[in-house]
Amino acid sequence: MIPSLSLRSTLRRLLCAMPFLLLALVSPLAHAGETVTDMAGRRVTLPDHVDRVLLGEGRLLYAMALLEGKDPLHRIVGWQGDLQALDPQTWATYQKAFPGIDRIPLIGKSSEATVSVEKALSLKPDLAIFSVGGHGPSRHNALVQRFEAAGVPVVFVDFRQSPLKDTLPSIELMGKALQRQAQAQAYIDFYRQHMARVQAAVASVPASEHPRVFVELLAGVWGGCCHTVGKGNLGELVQAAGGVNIAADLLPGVIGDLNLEQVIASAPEVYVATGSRREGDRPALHIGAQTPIEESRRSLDALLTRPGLTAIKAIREGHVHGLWHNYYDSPYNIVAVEAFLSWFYPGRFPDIDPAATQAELYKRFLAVPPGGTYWVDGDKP
Amino acid sequence: MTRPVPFEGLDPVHADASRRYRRLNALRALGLLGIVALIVIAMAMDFTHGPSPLALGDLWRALVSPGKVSPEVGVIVWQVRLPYALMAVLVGACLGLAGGEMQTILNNPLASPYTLGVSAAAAFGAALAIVLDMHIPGVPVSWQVPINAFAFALASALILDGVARWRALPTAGVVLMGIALVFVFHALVSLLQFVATEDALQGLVFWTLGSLVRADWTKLAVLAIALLFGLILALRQSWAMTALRLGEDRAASFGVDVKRLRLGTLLRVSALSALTVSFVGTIGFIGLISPHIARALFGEDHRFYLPGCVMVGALVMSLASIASKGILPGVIIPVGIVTALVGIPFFLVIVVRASGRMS
Repeated sequence: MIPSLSLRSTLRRLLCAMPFLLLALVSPLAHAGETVTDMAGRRVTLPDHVDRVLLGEGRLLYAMALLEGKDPLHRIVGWQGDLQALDPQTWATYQKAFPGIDRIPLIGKSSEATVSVEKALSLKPDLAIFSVGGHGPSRHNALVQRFEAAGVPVVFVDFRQSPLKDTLPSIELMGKALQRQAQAQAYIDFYRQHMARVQAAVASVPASEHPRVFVELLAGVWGGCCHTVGKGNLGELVQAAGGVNIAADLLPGVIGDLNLEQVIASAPEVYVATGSRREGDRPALHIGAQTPIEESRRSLDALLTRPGLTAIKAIREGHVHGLWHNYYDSPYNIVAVEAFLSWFYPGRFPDIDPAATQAELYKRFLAVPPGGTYWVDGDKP
Repeated sequence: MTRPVPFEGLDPVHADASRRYRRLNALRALGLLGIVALIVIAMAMDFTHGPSPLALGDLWRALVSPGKVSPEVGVIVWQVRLPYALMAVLVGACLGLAGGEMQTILNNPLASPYTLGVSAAAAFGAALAIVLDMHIPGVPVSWQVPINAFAFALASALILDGVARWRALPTAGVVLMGIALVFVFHALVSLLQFVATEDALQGLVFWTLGSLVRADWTKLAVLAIALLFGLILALRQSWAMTALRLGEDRAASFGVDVKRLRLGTLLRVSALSALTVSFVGTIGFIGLISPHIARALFGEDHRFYLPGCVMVGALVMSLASIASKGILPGVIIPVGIVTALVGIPFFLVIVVRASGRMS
């Protein structure tokens, strides 16, 4: 009686441990490499050889592509579906150059709830790179524990919550994890050099001359007006470019809706709408890869006809601009900072040219050609 | 509760009772007028408070001669403050009336547009438009979400009505069926949320939280006309509904066609609440709580109870609108979040105290 019981319980324990044992067997033996602290504050020991990478967000490709040279996809064994869903134009650009993109398995769609732990585990990555918050598995996802149990290092990076502070450490971290330290360093130098020019420019302007700015996130997409960002995220980039974000001291969280009356009363001097893809005939800013500038400008003009918007100072006076929304989650955000600066201080810093920066970024770091429209100016009234 | 009027008996007693009855009615009419006054005060507060410091004189000039104020003030008054303030009152009034009638005809204190599935169905219709871009062809973009929401809310009311007729459901069965619909539509909305992209998901979440920001003058006009018709039709049936509160058999003995009253009213008020939630999103609680407050204040006589539901709903909603603007200055907190918080004190003070007295 007693021995059979203990046998049964041993068996049960074995069965429970089975998945982990199997995983331990199938995952290649990870040799301990360098230990780093990731952007979620976790200590992670990196593998010394990485062939199979899992991306917790498809849009981590923006960062990964900076480091991977001519063949940005070859080590990606699986990713989340947000790139395809939220930035189909960039997807299509990569698809044209790398048709194999269609064969990379998805671990989910475009929200954390859809992540399949089983699918992710079955891809047997050597390394998983996740985003702190966002559209894929986050810090507390069951997947993190499963991977840790299976000996697959999980590295958290951040291009979204504090882009100003976290972009370069995240690139450095990815450089180490992917064994692309030289490429990471090159991008960090490029970014620092451009940011230093912006900082010097902003420092030369007295704070009293910093313009008030209103950024409308995904303008028109949700009906109504005035969905915006407070502290953090794009708000940080506005500040870095010498702008005063009118929502920074009003919103308690990162995003929220301002009262249209408040926006009118705050009298912003610059209005920036963000947008991404075209969806049906809904009002939205069409912008991003593969989008012609005429289409982008037309869609921006159409957004301004929403009721009441012409009472906003910046719109009445024609200081209207559109920006690619995905800069909010991308290491290319330095281009957005330069675009902001050129809008906040038109003609004042002619040597800061976001178009040239963008061209250099593509030429030096990316394997796909530049194209499309990432920022646009509205028509002057 | 009704106070029975003894029609037989000794003459002095009769005279006294009829005097008391008349005095009570006068008191109730005064009470209604009092709430109207409170609504006017709340609306004035709602209208005069906002993030921009506009003087009363400016507001008044913008109202009477809109051409003579700056365009900013014109927009603030005519496209922000006035529509929001009026929408709050109309939405509260419609949901209050719908809830009041539902509780009577279903003889259930838990009946409301929310608990009978109308709001959940509207949310599903809205979700189809927001997440999957599914809409009736030819509908202009800005009307796709409300029309979808209305279509599904009405369809859900028709299902409820159809099942109730077909199976001859007792009132408790109708309420249960309504709750079942709530669960079905919530599950369907969750399913859509699961496949939604993040921005669509956020749009949907904001929609379901309810917001007066979607107010415009066309919607205000549609809602005002619907409320007017709804109230007239409701008042024409107020005697029958009062009789129904005495019990189905008693009402039938007075010559009320209970079945017809029940089903006709259910369909009418479902349509009214469907229209309301399709314009502003799901706003629960008002439809549930206003009838209880109105009953505590005005009793069961539906000539007073029904207008009471309308007024109480409008008042609570107007106060909620003030709160949704005032809690974080400059920021719009979705009004659906605030309504319950604003309504609870009313509920505690009036309904809980009144039922405490009764026991």
